[in-house]
Amino acid sequence: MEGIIAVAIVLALLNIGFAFLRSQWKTSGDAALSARPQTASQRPGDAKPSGLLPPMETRLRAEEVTGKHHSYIVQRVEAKGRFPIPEALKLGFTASILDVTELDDEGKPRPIAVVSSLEDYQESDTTCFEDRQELGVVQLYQGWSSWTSVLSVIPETLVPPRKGDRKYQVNVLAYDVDRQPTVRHGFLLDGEPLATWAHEFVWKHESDGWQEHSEKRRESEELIVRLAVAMGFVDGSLHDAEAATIRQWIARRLDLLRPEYRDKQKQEFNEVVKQAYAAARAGKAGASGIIDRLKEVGDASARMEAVELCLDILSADGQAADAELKAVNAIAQRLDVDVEQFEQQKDKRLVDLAGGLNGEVDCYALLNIDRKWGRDQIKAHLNRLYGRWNARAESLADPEERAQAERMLEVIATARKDLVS
Amino acid sequence: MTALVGIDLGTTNSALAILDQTGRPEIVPNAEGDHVTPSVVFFELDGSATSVGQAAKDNAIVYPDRVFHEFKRSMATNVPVTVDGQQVAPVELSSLVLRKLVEDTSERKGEIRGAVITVPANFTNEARVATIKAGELASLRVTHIINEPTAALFYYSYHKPVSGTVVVYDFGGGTLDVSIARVSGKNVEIVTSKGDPRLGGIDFDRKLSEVIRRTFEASAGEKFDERTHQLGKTPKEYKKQLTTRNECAVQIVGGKTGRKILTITRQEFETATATLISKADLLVDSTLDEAGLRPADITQVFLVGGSTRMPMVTTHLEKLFGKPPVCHVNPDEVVALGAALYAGFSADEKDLNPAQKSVVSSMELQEVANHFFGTICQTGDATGRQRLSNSIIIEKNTPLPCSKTEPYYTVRPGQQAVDISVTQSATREEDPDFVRTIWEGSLGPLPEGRPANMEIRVTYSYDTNQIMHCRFEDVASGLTKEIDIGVKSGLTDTSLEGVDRILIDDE
Repeated sequence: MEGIIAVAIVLALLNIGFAFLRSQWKTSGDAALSARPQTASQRPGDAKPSGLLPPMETRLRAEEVTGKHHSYIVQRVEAKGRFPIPEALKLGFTASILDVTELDDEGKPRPIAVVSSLEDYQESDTTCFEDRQELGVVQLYQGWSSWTSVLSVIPETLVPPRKGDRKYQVNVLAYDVDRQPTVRHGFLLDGEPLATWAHEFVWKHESDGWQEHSEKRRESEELIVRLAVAMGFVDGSLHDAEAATIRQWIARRLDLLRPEYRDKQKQEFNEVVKQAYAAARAGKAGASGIIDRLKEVGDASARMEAVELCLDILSADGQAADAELKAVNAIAQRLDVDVEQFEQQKDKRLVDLAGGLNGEVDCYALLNIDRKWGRDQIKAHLNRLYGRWNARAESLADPEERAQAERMLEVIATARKDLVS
Repeated sequence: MTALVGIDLGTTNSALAILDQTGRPEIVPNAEGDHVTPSVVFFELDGSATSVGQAAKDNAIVYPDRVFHEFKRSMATNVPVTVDGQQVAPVELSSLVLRKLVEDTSERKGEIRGAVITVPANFTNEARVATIKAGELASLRVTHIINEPTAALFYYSYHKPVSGTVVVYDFGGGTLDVSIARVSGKNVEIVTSKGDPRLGGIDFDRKLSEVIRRTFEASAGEKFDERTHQLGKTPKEYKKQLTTRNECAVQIVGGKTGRKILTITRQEFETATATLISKADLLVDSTLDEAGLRPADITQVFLVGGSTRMPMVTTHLEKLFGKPPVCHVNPDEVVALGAALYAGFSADEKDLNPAQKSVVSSMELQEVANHFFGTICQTGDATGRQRLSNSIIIEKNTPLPCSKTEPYYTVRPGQQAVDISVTQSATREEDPDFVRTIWEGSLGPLPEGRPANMEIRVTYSYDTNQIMHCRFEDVASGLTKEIDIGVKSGLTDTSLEGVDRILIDDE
């Protein structure tokens, strides 16, 4: 978090820098114009000044910017020379980035989009990198006589398709603001820029790239479905309510996708469900392997989602079977989800159980007590649970939920009587 | 001069005490001459009147559907009872008990215009407000409410010098409160309180009933049916016998057997109620945990409430704290007596005579916030997902008065209103589903065209009368919303709709 804040501060400083850019340009422009001052009667482009600036060129220059906590490398796009304009117009510059690390079968670079983690450095309707600056109206023959910073890239904030050493191509475009070219995902789709330049640099990324992230996300979702089916079979069969819970979860995932991707993903999910169902019915759900893999590829959010879906299955039929409770406790523990968050989510399901705690319950499973714990550890755990459920029995507005909270208090008190006293 | 009155409005019994002219608190017996009045209401068959207290209780066996008790447990939820097809709210039933106490006292002591009423330490805001309303319905001006353990400690420290870190174990008919306080002479500083409003003597009575029923069915070979079988005494009376004897003889009349005598031992009773004691232990443990104390840190344990007479309670507490608990006053009366002292303590000086002034001037009390108070806001959770969350502003056990300001921010550009709420919880709870929202509204309209992240400053100020002043301010525009939440404003106007239907004496 500190790093993000620091980057935000650096960006703020850069934006301040851009504010100075225009005044710097005016100064440079004035210097260029001094070779032949324009008059009010002259139209731009009427005549060439004698001290004409050379055509504009651009370059990339790495610069270390020191923030409060640590330093950042900024790749500055600098420009020098005469603006590439046929007449006076509103001039803009944009920088897009493509990852050109990977080569196609012919050994040519295969450009791939690059995402920016900073909202201020994204295309208007995608998350791909773009930096754009507009200079306002510039006159013919104006330009910069010295290297001037126009755009910038903070490599650390780029998200390439994959991690490791990545080669980037920075495409710089000069354009007429009134006839803007269309750039999507870093590719020039439409329009004619006034000039283009390309530069390259290499940066090493330690974190997963967006393709890797997307692949892992998809695999995580498949694993979550497999785990959910396995969870549904914990008591021997998948009940209608449990099946409906899994189906709803998949439907919600599909709803998040663009229509063009939905059918394919639906088929993939269905295939996963069939495999998982067959395996679970054959008693080979392989939950252990699923959990291990999910822990490997799933981020905290995916792991918590898996646990929440398992909890939904646990409470789907309004009953919390001991075997299901044990299973979900074990899943949460092995997936290493946040304990507080897990217990909170579990509690929410437990209060919703319509009479699901009636009769004898296994307090070890329901209260998540480890049989290896000693007396003091159990006592402290029960005290904590008691404090929480006692408060809930007071605050819950729904009478059924309140009754369920009171039943939980009974279970906790019985556990204390049997295990501590 | 106005009588200074304290009332213990209990789940099973209620009592009234006054601060007499010498500054000494004393219980005022009711019209029947009893120091405590059963909190029981009976609706006469013709619907013309009600009776309250022992007379009402005596009707319970014959007219169980017209006799109401334990309604204090429903003060927060306000779940009504039905009599003659009409609904009667717990607040209305409580008002009838208060009315009897006040009328009985007025006959002996003159007009009572104001009183202090006690409530369990963990009573919610709604229950506190309902208690005040009950007083108002009984034509009583409730000057203050005070927590029962605090009132008891007030009296204990008045009665005998107390010092150190003490526990007040208030085990009444319907609730158990455990409070921890630092006391030096008559200076009482509350550290924390916790309560279980679902644990009291009546739960032990029910367990004893179950034991009796099971024993009967096992020995008589027939099912115990309340319509055909009758106990010789109430379970509560058998429970009382078991506090002094190791066994009691229970007589059951009716059914196939006609008349049967059963022997129930104290051991059987204690086994059946072990889970209840375990619940009580959990409350003690979690209260000590909250205060960061161990049993050895406690210098004295004071007993309050009739249920502390059960030997298993005192034995258990002695085992828990390593010292015998203290009970040198009547545990049924100590709360009312303490409330009467508090009535003097909180009264205007002009309402006190020199003797009374002398008694209360040496007393000091530091109360704390009994709950966490917060507001609902949007936050990112541990996995980065955005969720609604309860954000605590005033911590439980903060000494009163207190005030705290926290900044919050609008979440989206162009946001023109902010949903605002005040929440209450007994634990540091983040999940909005598990907190009680005691007020909600909105702040707006906010100026148009603004970016996200505009600061909304929220200030909660909680005073010694347990009234919380809340201020929500949009910092940039200066738009503010201020509300007072507490015993004077918590009930909606509609919550007492239809109350006239039962206020027979108002006709």
